[in-house]
Amino acid sequence: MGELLRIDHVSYNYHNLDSETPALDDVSLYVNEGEFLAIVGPSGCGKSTLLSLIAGLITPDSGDIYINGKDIKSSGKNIGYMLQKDHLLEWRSTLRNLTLGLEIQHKLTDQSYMLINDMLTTYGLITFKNAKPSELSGGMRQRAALIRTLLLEPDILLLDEPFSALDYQTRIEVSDDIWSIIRNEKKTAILITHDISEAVSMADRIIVLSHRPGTVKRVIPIHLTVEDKTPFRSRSAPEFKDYFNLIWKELNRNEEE
Amino acid sequence: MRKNKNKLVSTEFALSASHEAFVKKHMKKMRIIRTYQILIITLFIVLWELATRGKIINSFIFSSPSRVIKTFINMASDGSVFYHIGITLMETFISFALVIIIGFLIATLLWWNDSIAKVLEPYLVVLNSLPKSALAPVFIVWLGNNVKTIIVAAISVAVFGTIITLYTDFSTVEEDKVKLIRTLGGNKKDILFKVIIPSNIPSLISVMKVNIGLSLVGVIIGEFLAAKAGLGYLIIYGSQVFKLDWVIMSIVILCIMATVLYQLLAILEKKYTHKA
Repeated sequence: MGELLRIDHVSYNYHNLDSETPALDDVSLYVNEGEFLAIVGPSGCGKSTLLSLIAGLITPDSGDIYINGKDIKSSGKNIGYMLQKDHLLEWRSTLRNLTLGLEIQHKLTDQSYMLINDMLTTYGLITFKNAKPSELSGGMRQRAALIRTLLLEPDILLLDEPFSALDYQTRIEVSDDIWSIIRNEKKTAILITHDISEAVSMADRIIVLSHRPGTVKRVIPIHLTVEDKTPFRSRSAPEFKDYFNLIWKELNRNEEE
Repeated sequence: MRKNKNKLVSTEFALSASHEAFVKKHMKKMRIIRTYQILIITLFIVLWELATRGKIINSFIFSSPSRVIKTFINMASDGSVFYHIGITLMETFISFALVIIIGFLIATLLWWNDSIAKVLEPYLVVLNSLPKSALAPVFIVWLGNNVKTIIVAAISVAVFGTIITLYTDFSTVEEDKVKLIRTLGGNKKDILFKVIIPSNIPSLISVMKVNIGLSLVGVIIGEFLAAKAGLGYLIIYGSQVFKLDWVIMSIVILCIMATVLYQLLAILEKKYTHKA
């Protein structure tokens, strides 16, 4: 497992006419191939900004981002981005929502339809292939959104609080779903969340960001004693609550400063 | 409201007494409303007719329902009324189509280039609030006493509002939907065709609903000033030669025409929302 992504002393400020708001200040971190990294931090600490930077939607004011040692702009690597809400387009059927990314990148072929069919079957959506998104449950919608992203064969998946719009019970189920899909497809993922339990139960490593402007406060590798790990089972691992408390303290220490 | 009614009807079968009572009450209320609506128009027509027959009002100035019907039958038998209706309808459809096409294209251009939008904004606002009938005489001088003037006048009535409404709707599409397209590797063209246009079909239809009426208004203004045929011409000519029967008949036809055109678009809207 080599290093896939490196963020090197990156800073970013938001501007408006009255003032300048620093969002990220000198952030450095790395992600290994196949790793599931979670980034937690208080709201407004620039977590989403970090993902937008990695996805290349915005450019850092200073610092560099590398994938496989190459600058992100010239790496030609695919970045998959899952937003907070699924944003399935209501005027398209589920199937046509899944093909959206492929259409945009002009990669839609007969083969992709076979692949889509396989994925729909594997992830329990095949009967909803022609249904409108509004007929899908919250969990199914999230799965559909993930498949839409995965079809572009991203090297890294960015998850921007993808469960925050779901109710608690669905949330637990969907985290299990999404986590096992990501593991199954052997993807590298970066999850952003403010839910500590979610981070501990899903991640291999957690990065705690400080209050705005975001800086890396602490890096915590997660090792849970659990058989057949799933996010749900992880929650009953003996070390779970220690990690929870550790991160809780770390976050609150940030706020006092 | 129609939807609500359907829902009630479809659940009517299996239901508790209290629900049945509720449905009945609702239906009764709807019936009463409809009855009053019909009563008002009937009463109006009857009183109008009686008032002219009893010489309370002068039928030469106020016309009367029977005279309107007689005039219509006369003009229908020589086909002239259909000729005038046809002219007005044709002018309305042409203006309507042009308003939608021009409005849509300019709104898209403004969405595409924010600077152009900012530059043109004050001009659009002024032109939109300007009473367009003030422009009609200018069009006659420029374009002549003909159909061109009528269509340009009608377009001027509706097009600025259309541009402003569509542009506003285009630019208020959820930012995250735009972000989604960008995260999937799309450019501005993809954002336009995959999100902005499809998500604005309902708004386009509602703009059409407003514009079919406005185009008719514009056409009638145009016909008042620069026509040799059409219902607007019939109204203005009739009032000048004191043929009030023509005037009133044309107004009644315009009422019906406006309703039918609006309903056509309402059907289109319903069809679309059902599909979606």
